[in-house]
Amino acid sequence: MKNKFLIVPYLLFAIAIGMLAYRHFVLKAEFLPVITNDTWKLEVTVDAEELASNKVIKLNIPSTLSKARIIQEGYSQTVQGMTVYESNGIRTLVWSNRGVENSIPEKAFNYSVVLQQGTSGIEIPSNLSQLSVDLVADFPDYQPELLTKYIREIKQAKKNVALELGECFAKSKCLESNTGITKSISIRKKAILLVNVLRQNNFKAAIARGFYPEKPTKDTNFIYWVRAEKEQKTYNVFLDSEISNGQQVLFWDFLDELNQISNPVNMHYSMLPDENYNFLKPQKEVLHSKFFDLISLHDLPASVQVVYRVMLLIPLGALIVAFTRIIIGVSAFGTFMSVLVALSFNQVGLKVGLSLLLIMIVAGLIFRGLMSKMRLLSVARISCTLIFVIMSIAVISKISWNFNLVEGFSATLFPIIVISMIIERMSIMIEEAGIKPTIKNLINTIIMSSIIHLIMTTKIVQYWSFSFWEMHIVIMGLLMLIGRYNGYRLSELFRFRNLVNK
Amino acid sequence: MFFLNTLKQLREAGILGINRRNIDFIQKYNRRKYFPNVDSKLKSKLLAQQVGIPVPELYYVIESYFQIKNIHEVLSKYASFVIKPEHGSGGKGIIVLNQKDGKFFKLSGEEVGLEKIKEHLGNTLSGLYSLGGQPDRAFVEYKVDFDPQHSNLSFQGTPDLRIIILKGQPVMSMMRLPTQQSGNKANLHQGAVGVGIDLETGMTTFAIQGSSLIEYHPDTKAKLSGIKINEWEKIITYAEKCYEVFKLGYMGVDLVLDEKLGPLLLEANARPGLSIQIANQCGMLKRIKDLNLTY
Repeated sequence: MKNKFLIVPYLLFAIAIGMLAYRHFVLKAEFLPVITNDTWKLEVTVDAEELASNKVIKLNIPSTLSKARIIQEGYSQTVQGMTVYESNGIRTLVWSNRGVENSIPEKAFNYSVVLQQGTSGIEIPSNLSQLSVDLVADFPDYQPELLTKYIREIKQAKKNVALELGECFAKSKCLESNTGITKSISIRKKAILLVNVLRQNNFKAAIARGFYPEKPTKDTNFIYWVRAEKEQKTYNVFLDSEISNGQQVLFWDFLDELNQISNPVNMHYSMLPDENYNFLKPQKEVLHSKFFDLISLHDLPASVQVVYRVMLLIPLGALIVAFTRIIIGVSAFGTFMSVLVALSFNQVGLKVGLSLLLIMIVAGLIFRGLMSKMRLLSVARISCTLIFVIMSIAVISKISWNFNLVEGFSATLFPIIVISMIIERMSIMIEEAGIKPTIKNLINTIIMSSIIHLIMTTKIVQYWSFSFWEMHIVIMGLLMLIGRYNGYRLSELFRFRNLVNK
Repeated sequence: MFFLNTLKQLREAGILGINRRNIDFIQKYNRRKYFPNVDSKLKSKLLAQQVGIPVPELYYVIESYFQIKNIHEVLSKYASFVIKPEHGSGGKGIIVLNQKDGKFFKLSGEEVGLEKIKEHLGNTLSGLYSLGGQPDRAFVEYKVDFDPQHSNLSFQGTPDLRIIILKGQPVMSMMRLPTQQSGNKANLHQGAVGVGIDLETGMTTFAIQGSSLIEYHPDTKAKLSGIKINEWEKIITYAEKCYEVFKLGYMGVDLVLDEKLGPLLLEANARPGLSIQIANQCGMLKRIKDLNLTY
């Protein structure tokens, strides 16, 4: 061996394989991911920043009436003043800072729970107050007489009012012809209208809020629907065709209570499939293994886990970039730009991500072209592009929100600085090298990002990168070996082909 | 099979690939602390002059935005000049201008406004053309008038000579000829023509554009092989001398042949490209072996 330090990667492989073998054979950790849709970890954190004194916060938490089984539950608080009470089977967490005069620490309290089979099982409380919504002010086009007539028709046809109305409200044409509302309204607003109408028709109805279980979320992406109850029958009325086909959502809260507590309070929800539970289910004693305690990231709070689940995918992206550059010889914009773009694709999905990226680049190039006429110095010019990109993302988020395009408004992870730099580099490259090589580089970047995204979103890859994060030692070893590869790149076979053929 | 066959053929032909160049040549022979010797064109100029290698005369250095304001006074003194970024690469950010009655013109005859020049200088200072995008300096220097004997070898721009030096020994050389496609720049990636030169005789051998062999200049239609480069021995001597001054074991030395001043060192490159092998129709590793050099 020419270079004695090349023993390092092999040592790294040995260490990682040793750790993996220990975890698998001794600690019985599963190498394949267990289907995790039945176990979920939910967290609610309330920030105390700017919280007025004498504040009381009430939060409905999963109760004994829930079909969901509570496996673990935990609270933490920085100010003593939390209690949980149960009334009519509904459990409520109450926190108060009454009587606390000193400044309140950053976090008021944190509540976390691990639920199994947590679907739409929580009962609606019987004593819901009327929603204080001024329908006329909120929906100026609303014509109650049209809806009354429509409800009469439904009743005459002996159909279920709640379900029929839900189906109608999901379609804008039907909504318009039976309520007079012409403007496109969000699902949340549709839900508010429907709850009010149902209550006027002697239903117990409330707005429910939940999550797509297959998409771990942090802070955003609630979906709204209506839970209605009449004559001891409960109906889930979905106002979005995408989730009406029995897709499970975790039931969490009612709008009435939410309104009381969330407006003045900074409250974060996070929710994750809790692999920890499934991961270790067969060998519960492993939970007490000191070694496991030391290296497992599953004990971290869900909101922190979300960050690490994303962060720990980056090394694999870096490996793919190194492989495509050094072994294949693909040229793309920036070294790790493709990885960052792939991360944003992970967040919003490939189709939406690609569309957003291309829209942003084309719009940015036009903006950059207009700016070049102003002959600005480059720092100022790139900063203007950056602001343009940020504002474009905000506009896209707003438009998506208005049209209920969930993926669009969560595009905040889009790497704005990276996109600004791509725009700047492309614009210069078009001028210096022409459109053809620029487009080629962009296509390479997009293909690489898409491949990295597809690999990163594979279940087993996500499982291994987080649960067996010692695997990154192997990746580091592989990178060291790739870094010493002095053979030909695949692209060079084509580049020098004519030379050797002659 | 194509891959295996081609791989075998490339190995047999002694073609140097990028990975091997980076690991076995650049990392092995070029110590990082000497990179500034060539990455800074101003420093290269200074070092070269110290050992008697002629370089284009330096007219003016622009270090701050304030200097740009009165640049007209400086530029009006010269009938022709070149503006370069100190840390530029691949010919980026270089503009060649002629001056007449206080107005500036590109080699193509197109007028360039003073505002455009100021903007270009501002961009250069802010690092638009520099390696790694760091803030940079710009400088104005003597514009080389290419040896008229070879005037039909180039379309408007100035051809340059690239010589690869391994541990002080010339290994391979070529001439790079600007074309209309390359935008008058001697940059092979942008469509300039590369012409291989026999190290012993200074005679041109093969010519390429992209990766295709050509016989005639695409614009001037001049025959490209069998041309004797003037003052070849001097050129080789200067290139060899660069090793002792820049202290890089593997580098590309770029020179030009001026009508009045003869060979002038333009710059040296610590990461020279590999297309020179196609222009010479010969692998670098094979050439090194033929010259009885070790690496």
